[in-house]
Amino acid sequence: MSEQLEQIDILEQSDVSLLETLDHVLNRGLVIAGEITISVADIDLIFIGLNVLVSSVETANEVVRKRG
Amino acid sequence: MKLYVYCLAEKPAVQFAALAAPVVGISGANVEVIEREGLSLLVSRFEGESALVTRENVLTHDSVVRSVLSETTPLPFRFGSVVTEQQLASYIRTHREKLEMKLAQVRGCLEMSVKIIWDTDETKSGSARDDLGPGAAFLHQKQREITGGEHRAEKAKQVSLWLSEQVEGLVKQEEVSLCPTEKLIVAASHLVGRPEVAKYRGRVAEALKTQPELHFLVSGPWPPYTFSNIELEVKTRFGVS
Repeated sequence: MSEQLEQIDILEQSDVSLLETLDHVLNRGLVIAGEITISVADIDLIFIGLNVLVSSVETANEVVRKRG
Repeated sequence: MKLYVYCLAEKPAVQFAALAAPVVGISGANVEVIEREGLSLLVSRFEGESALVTRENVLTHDSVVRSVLSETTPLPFRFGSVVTEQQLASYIRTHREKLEMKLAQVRGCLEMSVKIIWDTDETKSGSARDDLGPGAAFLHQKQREITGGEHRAEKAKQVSLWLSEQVEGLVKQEEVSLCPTEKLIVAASHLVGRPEVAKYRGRVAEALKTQPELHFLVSGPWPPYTFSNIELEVKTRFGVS
């Protein structure tokens, strides 16, 4: 845990912003249809070891595990 | 061709001055403002069935929503809202009343986010035992997890109440999630009037100094992503390309 917190501390502000943006944009907001299909393609979205903040990242990790 | 939908807003007196210059949306398509049932929607033309979750696309979605934030408070759509024009028209027609109510609720407000991590070993109850056999050690570990979890949940409740007290009078509406992930004990979203945002920040900054055992992540202002839900049945599916 403390190691992860250190990792957070050294994150650039822009990285924290991206994590927070992921949390807001992927998890929240109006949904038009009953179902939304989105695809995970870009590995750099997944901050291995930094997934302490954002449930979206955990979701992405789950996808990666299934792919593996 | 389908539409990618970013957000909707009350038809403003000023026709989105921020869009006077072209705004580039997902896949490089220009963002357009269209009207349905007296509401304004920010959309762009989209080829294909689904949007890829990439850093660029996620940031683009948010930046398009933010492009009108200085003029009005929109209701953001979730990332990946790709629909036909008919689906969009039907959705607005069917939900117009709820959407207008929701727009009224967020009018003049912005969203602030506070996430709190409790960095402590107190979440573990007692210490591990090396003197037990495999079965007893397993049961002892389970007991530690259960009692530690209860302790953590109680702490989350206390911290949540404490946070609500700190921002009392500045928050129009709040959504709080207790222990939403293994690491977080509180994730709070606050709907704050625009004139109160600076005061809110100041009060939170002062408050967190009094809780050295807690790790805070305060962010915002955001478009009201958290407060846009009109309780539709939602099923989000992550496809893998």
